[in-house]
Amino acid sequence: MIDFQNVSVTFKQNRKTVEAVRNVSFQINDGDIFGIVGGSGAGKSTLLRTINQLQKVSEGNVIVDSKAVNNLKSTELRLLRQNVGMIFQHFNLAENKTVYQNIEFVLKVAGWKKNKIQSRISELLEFVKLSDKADTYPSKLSGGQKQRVSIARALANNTKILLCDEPTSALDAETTSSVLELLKKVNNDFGVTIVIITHELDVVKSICNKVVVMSDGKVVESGDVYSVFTNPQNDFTKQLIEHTNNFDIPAEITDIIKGPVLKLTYLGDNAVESILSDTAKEYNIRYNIIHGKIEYIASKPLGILYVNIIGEDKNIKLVVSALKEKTFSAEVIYNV
Amino acid sequence: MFENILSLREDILEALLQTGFMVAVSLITAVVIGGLFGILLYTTSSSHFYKNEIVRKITGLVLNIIRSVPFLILMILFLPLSKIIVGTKIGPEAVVVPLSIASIAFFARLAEASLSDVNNGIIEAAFSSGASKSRIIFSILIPEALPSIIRNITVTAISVLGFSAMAGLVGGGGLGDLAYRYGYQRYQTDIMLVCVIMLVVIVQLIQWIGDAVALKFDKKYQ
Repeated sequence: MIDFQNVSVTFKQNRKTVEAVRNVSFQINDGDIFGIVGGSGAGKSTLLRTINQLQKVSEGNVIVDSKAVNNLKSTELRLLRQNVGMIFQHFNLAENKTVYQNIEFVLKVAGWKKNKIQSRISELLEFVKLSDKADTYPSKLSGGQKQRVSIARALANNTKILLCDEPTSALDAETTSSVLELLKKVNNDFGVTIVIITHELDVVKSICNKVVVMSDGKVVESGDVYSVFTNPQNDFTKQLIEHTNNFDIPAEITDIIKGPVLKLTYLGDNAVESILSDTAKEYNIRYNIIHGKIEYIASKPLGILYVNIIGEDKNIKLVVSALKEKTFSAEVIYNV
Repeated sequence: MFENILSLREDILEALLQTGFMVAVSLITAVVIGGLFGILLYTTSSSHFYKNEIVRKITGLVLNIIRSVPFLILMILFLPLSKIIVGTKIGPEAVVVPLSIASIAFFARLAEASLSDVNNGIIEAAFSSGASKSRIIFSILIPEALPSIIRNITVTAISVLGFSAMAGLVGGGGLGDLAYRYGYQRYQTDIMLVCVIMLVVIVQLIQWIGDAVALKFDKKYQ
């Protein structure tokens, strides 16, 4: 378990004191895929680095496996780092070392015997599907391949915690999903606890089970991913989620439609189709479906539907309030 | 026109060997000791290693002072030290001492620049693996900086060759000295020409070897 207890980090930058992390407390359980999201400068990267003490804390404690890592002596600290892997946005592989040598370095650091190193590296490369790239230099690899090598490197010493610093921000959409799949597999096959910081909410949606949202060095919201995404409490979180969920109705459509446009959100098993046909009959109105999608957040579906209601004004009022009751949320986002 | 060359061929050969000796010894000293100073400058400026502003500033100041003094003056200043170290104030052996000191200061700064160019993220990743500082310096930092270091050794070698031409002023010998004494003072233009051509060839050779070796070690853009 990783336990942040009233952690603050302040440092001096150009003679100014910057409070990067302010009094943060939360816990990450073993086996979690834990997301830390926030805009740039929110302090998430600083917070992540307190776990392996690449960043010292100014106040509070960071407990990893019941040890306060902020009090470790240098030899103990090196031992901790050997058991906590880390991957980075820009991969940070040694350029003048082959894939094999990059992983070998970590194993040598951890004191692996020569005869075991080779078999361990082939095992790792097989896992990340790069067995044929052992003697290749990083400059010859694609971004996704580099990230897979760095995942292999981070896991080499059978680490139980993997820290990910914006692991997909330098990758295209397709590569992102393959790297995320690999991280899921790492979590699933080896029970590795993954802490992932990102500004991409899609990353959190697709692989995390828990999330904290940071803004200005503070944790503004935390919980399991599905409830945070479907029912955000904090304004900053709402804004963040709106940003990815919103759909702008094209002007061509707003020009021709009459009546209100509703955004309906429904969770999990809510069968929205029958709600629509039932209410249409009951209130004598018609629906015009403009846009719809189903998102999977932490493997659970979240449906979003934009519908235009056509009918008499009093019926429309009635149907809107009925829909508010029957769906997770129904809001009028446009009205002519 | 080339009648002097035949009669002086042994002097030319000797001068070539003297130049070779001075450059080789100074360059090796520069790479080893200057390299260590380069590491000192880098590690005392990085918070990952041994950040220490006082040590860094004092070292930097001393190196800058050495680099500011014209080599001619430096040579005269350090000849008494040559007497202590190598037991003589004249000849190529004596010149090697000030030449090494100048090259150390020259190369230290270049080595520092090479090390600073290594991507900080790679260093951070190495620290995140739990490696010790000394292991990171020798297994990550230096190998990553190596192509750039080799290019800077090339630059240093050519500068040292230039400095060594002034050795004649204290009886140090070498090609520069031969060109000056015979070519300039005795109007034996052919000797001057031969010496200059040899120096041009040596410079080209150093550059060519340096580029080839650097390229061999550089896996970044291949």
